Amino acid sequence: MICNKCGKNNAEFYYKQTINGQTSEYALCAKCAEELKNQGKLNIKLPSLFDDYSIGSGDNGLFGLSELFGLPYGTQKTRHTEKKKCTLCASTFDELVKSGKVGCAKCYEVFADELNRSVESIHGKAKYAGKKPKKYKEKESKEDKLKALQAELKAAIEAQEFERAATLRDEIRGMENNG
Amino acid sequence: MAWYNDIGKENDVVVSSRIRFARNVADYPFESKMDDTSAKEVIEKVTKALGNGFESIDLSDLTAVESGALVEKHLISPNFAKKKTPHALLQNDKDRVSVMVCEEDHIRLQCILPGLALDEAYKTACIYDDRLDDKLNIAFSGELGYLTHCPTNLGIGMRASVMVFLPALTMTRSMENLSVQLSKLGFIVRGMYGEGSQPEGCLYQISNRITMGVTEEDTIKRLNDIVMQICEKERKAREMLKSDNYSAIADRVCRAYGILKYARIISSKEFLKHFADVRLGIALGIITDITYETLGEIMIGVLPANLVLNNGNKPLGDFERDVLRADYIRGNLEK
Repeated sequence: MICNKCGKNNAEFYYKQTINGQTSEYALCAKCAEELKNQGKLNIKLPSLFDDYSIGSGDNGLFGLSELFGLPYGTQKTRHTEKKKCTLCASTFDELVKSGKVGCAKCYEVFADELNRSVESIHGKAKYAGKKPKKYKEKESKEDKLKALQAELKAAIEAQEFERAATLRDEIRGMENNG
Repeated sequence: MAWYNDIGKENDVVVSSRIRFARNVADYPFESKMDDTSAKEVIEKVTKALGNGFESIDLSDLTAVESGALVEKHLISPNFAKKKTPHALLQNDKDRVSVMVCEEDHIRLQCILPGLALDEAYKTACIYDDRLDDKLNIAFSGELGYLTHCPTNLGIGMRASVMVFLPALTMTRSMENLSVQLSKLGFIVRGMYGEGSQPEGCLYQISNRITMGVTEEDTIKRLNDIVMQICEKERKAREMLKSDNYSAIADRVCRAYGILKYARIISSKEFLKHFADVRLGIALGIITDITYETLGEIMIGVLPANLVLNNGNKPLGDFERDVLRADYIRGNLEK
């Protein structure tokens, strides 16, 4: 469903209000909901970034957003993710939401899209900048080297330097076969 | 010697420095989804990876008092002490490194040093972190950094903290303001016993909150700079207290010292109050016959589990404990 206000983003938020017996319902995207809330037109509490440092430590936890996205959308979303289970620890996204904790390292891949919002609400849009395990760095530099070799190979073929291209191709194959 | 009874840099203000890494082994479910067999496997792997120099302590062999004593020394967390599923503590006394295996994360590695020594603590912790990294498949992603059980720790998975003694800033009611300022910079001020605890004995913990978009070195450098500024402020405030009314502050300090030296019944809370005054007295040069090291030893020794463990290890009621505490303090101050 598309947001009633901007007509662009997916609606994630259902809001029903009854004033003088007249009920109106809205489906809104997170951005529009935030906007309306700031204008005082939406009378609910939206969780804000770093709202509460104890995020994730309690039962109401980390994925507090899901509570808000409560019924209509929530059920829709649950139906979608209910079947999806982590291939390593068999957690469902629902379990993650309930416990406020992630089941295993693999969950971060399996539920990447679902977790993205929570991660952003905790850490903002900051990119990882810290140290990296040696194995990861080696993998990274190998990938960089492969990319460079492939570019060289392409250039060699274009320049019709077939002998050099053959050497490069063997080198690439050798690297790929070594895991 | 441990972090609490040894001398370190800026000791008049900084009691200790701590670096903690949260790590997990890929291919194993995180702690809450783990069965006993996996937990035992992880313990075995981590023990092997860390290699020589570590003593392994099976927490299930310890009594509540014994594990309580480790909590009081900040070597394990209260939750870790209570855990029923397999978990182990690996300790390297020489380097003051301890590793909780199967806590909230598979690996919680920490190094605590006396005084302001964040750089050294970081370097030491890294030696063992690299060892783990070398031997194990540590859960890591290029986008999210070290993958942790709770997403709040994602990123560098590092907590850098210092325990500071701020009696003058407490007396001049500057702590609230300081706390607000530090929070804007991404650092948190708490009481000595971590989350939710009330500051007692004018002891506070300052630690980083941000783990994403920052490097370990930057975080440590910023915390170090902040602590140096706090040291300066605290010392200035102490000098002011001393010059404003020397007799009043000397009286307060010496009365506190008198109570610790001669009391026969004393609660933890009362101890911490006088402890703060006596420690301030040492800093101001009013008390010269005891050292920070002696006082540090007493600071941990008076805590309930350590007190009971080191004095006969018999279950005691509150009153008996308060009597024992007073005896213990007197004994140590007379040494």
